[in-house]
Amino acid sequence: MITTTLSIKNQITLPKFILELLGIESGDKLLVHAEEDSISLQPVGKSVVDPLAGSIKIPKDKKGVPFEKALSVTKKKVAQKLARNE
Amino acid sequence: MNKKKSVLIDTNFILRLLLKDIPSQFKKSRQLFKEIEDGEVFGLISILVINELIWILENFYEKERKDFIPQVLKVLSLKKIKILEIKKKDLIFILEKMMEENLDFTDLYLLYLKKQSKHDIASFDKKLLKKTA
Repeated sequence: MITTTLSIKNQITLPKFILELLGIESGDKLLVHAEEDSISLQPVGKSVVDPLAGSIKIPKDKKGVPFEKALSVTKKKVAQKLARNE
Repeated sequence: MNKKKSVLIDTNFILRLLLKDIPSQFKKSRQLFKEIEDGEVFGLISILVINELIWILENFYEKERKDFIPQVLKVLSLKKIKILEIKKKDLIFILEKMMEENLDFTDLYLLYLKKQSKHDIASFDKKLLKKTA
């Protein structure tokens, strides 16, 4: 654990050994998340978008289903749930 | 000075990025989100779109919240993504709550509005009313 100081521009300097340990390079993006009483920084490499591509896995029979079809099935299912008062 | 282009993003654009199941649509979606990530374009998202996205992922694709909310949060983490109706930090709070509580997006949004406005919620939903007590 090491102390770092917040600058007047709300910037912090991360220790080099931590960056090396985690393989973080300048230009990499970090996801900042507020926890109960701390802040976490999750390295995501150069892009947030690229790892998101295809990151939700779906079964083969649902691949390529047109949006309108998925939406219409969804509406029916939601209506049934509401009718059952779930 | 060049004014950055702003684009209203529909549910299917976010969905095709996350599912990558229709190559032609995925390509266009990825390109838009890369432009947003690179700061070339502002992406505007309505909470109605977020609600629809959650509905479809939960009810049609039958995904558990833990398997898609972190991805939605990452989409929202892009600096040039703006939320139309509420502050982005409040939407992030609602989505994080969805992973902890068995309440749907509308319920949590109502609870958020109640907190903001101090109005009461009129509902027959016992689960929701319990949260307001």
